[in-house]
Amino acid sequence: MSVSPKDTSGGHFEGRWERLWFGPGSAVRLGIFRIIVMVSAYDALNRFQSAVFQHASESGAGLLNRSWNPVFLLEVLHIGPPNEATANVVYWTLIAGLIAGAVGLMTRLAMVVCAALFTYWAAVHYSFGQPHHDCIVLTFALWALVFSPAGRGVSLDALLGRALGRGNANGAQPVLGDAVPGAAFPIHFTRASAAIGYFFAGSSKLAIGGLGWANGYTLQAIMLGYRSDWSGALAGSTRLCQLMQIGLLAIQIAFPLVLLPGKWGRYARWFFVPGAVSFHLMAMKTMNTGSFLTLWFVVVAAFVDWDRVPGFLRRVAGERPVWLRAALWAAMAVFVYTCYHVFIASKPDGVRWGAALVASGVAAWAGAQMFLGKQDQAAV
Amino acid sequence: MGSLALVVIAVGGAPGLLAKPCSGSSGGSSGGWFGVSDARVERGGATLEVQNGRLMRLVAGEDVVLSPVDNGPLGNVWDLAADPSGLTFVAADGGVFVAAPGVAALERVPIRDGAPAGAPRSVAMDGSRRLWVATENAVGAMDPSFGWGRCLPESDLPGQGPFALSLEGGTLEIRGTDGAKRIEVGGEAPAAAFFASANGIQLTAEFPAALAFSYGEVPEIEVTGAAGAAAAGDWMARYRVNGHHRLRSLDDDRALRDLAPGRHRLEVFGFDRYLRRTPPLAIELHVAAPFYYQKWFLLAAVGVLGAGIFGFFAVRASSRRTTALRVLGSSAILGALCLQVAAGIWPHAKGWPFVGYSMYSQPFDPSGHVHEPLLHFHDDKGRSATRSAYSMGLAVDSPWQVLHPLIDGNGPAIARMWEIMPALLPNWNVTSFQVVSERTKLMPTGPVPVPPLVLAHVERGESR
Repeated sequence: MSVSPKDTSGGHFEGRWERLWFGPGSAVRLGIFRIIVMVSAYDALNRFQSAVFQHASESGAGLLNRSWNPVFLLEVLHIGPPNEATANVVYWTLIAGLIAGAVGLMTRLAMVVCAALFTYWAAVHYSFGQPHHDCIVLTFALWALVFSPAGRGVSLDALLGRALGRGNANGAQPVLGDAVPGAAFPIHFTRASAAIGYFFAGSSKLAIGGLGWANGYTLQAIMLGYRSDWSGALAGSTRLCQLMQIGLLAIQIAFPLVLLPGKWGRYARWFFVPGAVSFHLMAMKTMNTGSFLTLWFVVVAAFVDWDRVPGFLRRVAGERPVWLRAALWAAMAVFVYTCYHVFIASKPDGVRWGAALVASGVAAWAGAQMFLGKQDQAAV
Repeated sequence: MGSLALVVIAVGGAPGLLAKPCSGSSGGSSGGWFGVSDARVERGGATLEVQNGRLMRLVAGEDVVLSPVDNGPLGNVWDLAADPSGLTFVAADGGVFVAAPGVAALERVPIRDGAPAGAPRSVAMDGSRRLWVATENAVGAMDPSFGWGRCLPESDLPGQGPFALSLEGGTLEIRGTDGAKRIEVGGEAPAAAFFASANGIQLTAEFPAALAFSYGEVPEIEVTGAAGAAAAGDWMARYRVNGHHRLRSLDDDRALRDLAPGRHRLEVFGFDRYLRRTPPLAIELHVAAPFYYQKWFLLAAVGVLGAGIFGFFAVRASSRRTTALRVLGSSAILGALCLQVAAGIWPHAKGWPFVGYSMYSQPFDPSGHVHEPLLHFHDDKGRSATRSAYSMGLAVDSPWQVLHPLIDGNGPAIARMWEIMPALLPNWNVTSFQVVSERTKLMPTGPVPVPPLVLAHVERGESR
């Protein structure tokens, strides 16, 4: 995990621990992280929407072989299945919270509403069926945002504060490189949660299935049992599937290396984050096992150093050999198109436009930073 | 039917309700009257035809010899039976096989408990999708998907085999060396002549009782005949848990050892000698979790962990300049991370969001099939379409949640399917649909499609 060089207090365990979680971080980066987490939560909310509403209105009664089996969280709190009115109130409150959270209006309150109600919404959904692990990291990211200065950058709160003379220490809207105490916490916590998740996803396969799990047939069977666009093409070869399984195990089990401090962690992130994203892309195109958009977005949001994107783009645009620039731009174009094709073009309208809006916003921000020549003070 | 009903009551059989292997009477003639088959079935634009003991598929004048997908022995092909669902069942020396339109190989139908064993000579499929099989020595009905069934008693057979079968409505004609015999096999199953219990608690048809088990205690099913062993012997019982489409044999699994903690519904079905199914007797089973997954233990463990972490940070903080808020925050952060690690080590679905990551961790055994549950639709113009279970518009996280009611012949579920049909397939006049489990066999050379399991076939205007 990266630690800001500005905080130098203490060198022993507690000092390093507190710098990591409570030390300063970029307000702009946290703001972009917050927006992407809100969009991811919106996607998950919509995926769970029909299940919760169908049960709340009992429209599926008699048609489904399913019953209410509450998760511990709801059982301990004595919360039963919602009726239609409750479901409507929760849904629309959560929508309002997500919108307020995305634009950064009354951000702290919005974060509390989003974390609490999203946890409830997902718990209700999972109490009617089998719990899945695609929203675990998102849920922890939402709760981490509650305890952070999430509204200090890229938010209406910051704009209003500036207009009313309540900006940062310099009396201005935070810009790239501005550090705010506690701003790194949600990002570090989400990174740690993602690393734990990937590690146990891989090690559980070895612990339960043994080395035989990577026999090639296992992946073939999942692809053919849950067909998606590329299942037929890639499930044809047992050897190819075996290679993919070995690669998957390697990426998942070794993923915690991204948490290493210093340059080794940075190198690891350049390998494992694209590796995890590629894994999710392949999973989505080869097996219809549910949307991993949520996890994909949150992982990218947590591991991309958004402050460094403009500087990176500037260097790619102007300081490298032409062939390298062309290759990098081409690779980025292919990647963006693939992401659009996989995650946006195939989604329902609301999510498509929401995701497109966020992607456009982030791209516009990066472009503006690049062409307006803002200095990237935290550049590598 | 009247005389047959009498047989049901009067004929004694093996005591109890367990399925026994059925190979018929000893001996049996090789059957000089049983001639060379010329059976022929038209399916999906192709014709399946038996020619000189081989099974041919004729498509636009091109003849292809069909053989088993595993290249196992097929032997002489004797007979074909057309299933309304589109499948064709094949009686051959090597066993009972199934063929499907568009699939270039045959797949063996396993012969399991109670079904007629031996070399099949004749097959027939009735409107209730029972597959009637005649061998050299025995005749019986079997489930066409899973291969279990029942044999007819010798008193129903016309002398010695080999036997040949034909069906007309609900009447089965059995031809043997001593002529032919016609028996009525249609209609509803008579009221069940048995009781079922789990650990001494009676299963009932309505308002099932609930039975609680501590962790490690194994529920055991007992089935007894209502009118003594004689009546019981004429019935076979099978059971299922949580509405699963596969009915299990009491021979193998009388004790439910693999029940996970949680709530389960046990249902026991009776089958008479003609494989007619009774409504289920049911009971709710509540299996407790082990103590380390109990709420009180988990809450206590979380409390102890939290207190320990808080204590650690509080003690360390006393010698440093830090705030109480940071001690609290550090404790919460480390506690949450520890719980995530614990969930990774001991996954538990109910612990969400601390559930672990153990999905898709079982290796696939390549000797089995890959199953893909789907819905197939057919219209009056001979067109076919395939849709996933999710197309019904019901939110489910497993397609079986919506397919099981259709497989069970649930009236409201089937009615809803017909209601949404115009939206699902606009401008189609759908005449039938099926719940199908598409199957693929994984071979070293790559995946090979094999004929699917048709788990339900519903015609317009029929309940099932």
